[in-house]
Amino acid sequence: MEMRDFDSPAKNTWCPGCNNFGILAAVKQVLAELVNSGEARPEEIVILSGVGCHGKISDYIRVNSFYCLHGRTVPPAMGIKVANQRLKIIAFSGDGDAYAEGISHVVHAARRNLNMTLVVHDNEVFALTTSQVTPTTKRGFRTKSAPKGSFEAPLNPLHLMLSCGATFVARGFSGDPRHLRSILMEAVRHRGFSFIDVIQECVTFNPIKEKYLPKIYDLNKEGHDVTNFSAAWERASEVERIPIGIFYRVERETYEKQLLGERILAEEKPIPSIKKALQEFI
Amino acid sequence: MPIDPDFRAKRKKVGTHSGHDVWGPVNPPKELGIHGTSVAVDWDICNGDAICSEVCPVNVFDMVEVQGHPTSNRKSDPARESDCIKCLACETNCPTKAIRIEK
Ligand SMILES: Cc1ncc(C[n+]2csc(CCOP(=O)(O)OP(=O)(O)O)c2C)c(N)n1
Ligand code: SF4
Ligand code: SF4
Ligand SMILES: [Mg+2]
Repeated sequence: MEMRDFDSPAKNTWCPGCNNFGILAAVKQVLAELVNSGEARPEEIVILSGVGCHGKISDYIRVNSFYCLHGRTVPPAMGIKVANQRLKIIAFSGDGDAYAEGISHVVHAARRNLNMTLVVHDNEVFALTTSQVTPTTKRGFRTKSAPKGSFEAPLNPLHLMLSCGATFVARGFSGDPRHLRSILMEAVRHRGFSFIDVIQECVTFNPIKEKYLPKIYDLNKEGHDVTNFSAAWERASEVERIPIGIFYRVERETYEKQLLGERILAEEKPIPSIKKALQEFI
Repeated sequence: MPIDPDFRAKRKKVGTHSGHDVWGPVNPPKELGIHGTSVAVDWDICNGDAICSEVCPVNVFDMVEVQGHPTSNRKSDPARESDCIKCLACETNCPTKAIRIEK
């Protein structure tokens, strides 16, 4: 398969120049590679997305997808994984989605080592609602709703995920789509909860690329030991330079293996008709 | 040197290739001109990196082989320029600034 086999007919409404386009391309390439290598059939891939500009990504990729409530990519992902642990689950969230409204879900998915990938499009702003501060907004950032500039200390998503027990913690940069694609491939292949915070330029409300670019470096090219928790923590503390790459990667039993062993619940019961299932709620 | 944003005014169409216009001057193998109009790639600047074809969400580009050009032996050809959704991913990621999207 090729990237274009994952094109959807939906009209793309991201702003021209939005760095979500680079993330979209990286995802399609990874999906094509997954299928071509025999690691997953197209129908075994499920993507989920939250609410925000990032969330539209599930409209733009032609695989089974679930457009979630704001901040709620993890609960349906968990349900899907438990129902059929053969499926590859990739969830896309925003910094507002994952670190504000939905933060509790992310914490528990990491703690439980649910075998899924969470990609956070971290543009440091609520973009779809036209720019309000999020938990990762830098101090001093001005918006219409914070005219004097944000005075809150931002959250460090990598520290959060490391302390919650995530078994794969990485950072990408939308300005380096080749690097993003390679860590996304590793994340999707990881058995356990894999997390990527992608620094994403929002050209309309937070054009950060030129400012960040000179500080960005690939930590995996500097001989970083990805199994060393303290080293990962230290690298994640750096602010003068901005490391991207895989900070931490270890193996631990997954949530669904402990819960189910090899059972595939979806195959144990006949699948009810969707119409019938929905009727219960109407 | 990046692609000239005013090439449509300053250059002349000298032919077509794979369904798109070619803007001169063209003197092969050393001078290849600009391929495409709404998605324009300056082949004299293109270094064959191919990041444009990797990031384009709608597969506008084909990489084609050329011989004897001083910059590179392959060039990015905007073979399906009418499919462009003007996301600018190619333009912003091109390391030699060889691409210009008509806004
Ligand atoms: C439950 C709920 N609360 C609030 C909103 C309003 N809302 C829509 S998008 C959004 C923020 C999106 O920000 P982020 O997750 O960072 O995504 P981005 O647009 O930056 O990609 C909010 C608060 C909503 N749709 N649903
Ligand atoms: S507002 Fe920002 S994040 Fe949303 S589509 Fe536009 S550039 Fe992209
Ligand atoms: S602007 Fe976007 S859609 Fe158009 S050719 Fe460039 S990468 Fe492709
Ligand atoms: Mg955001």
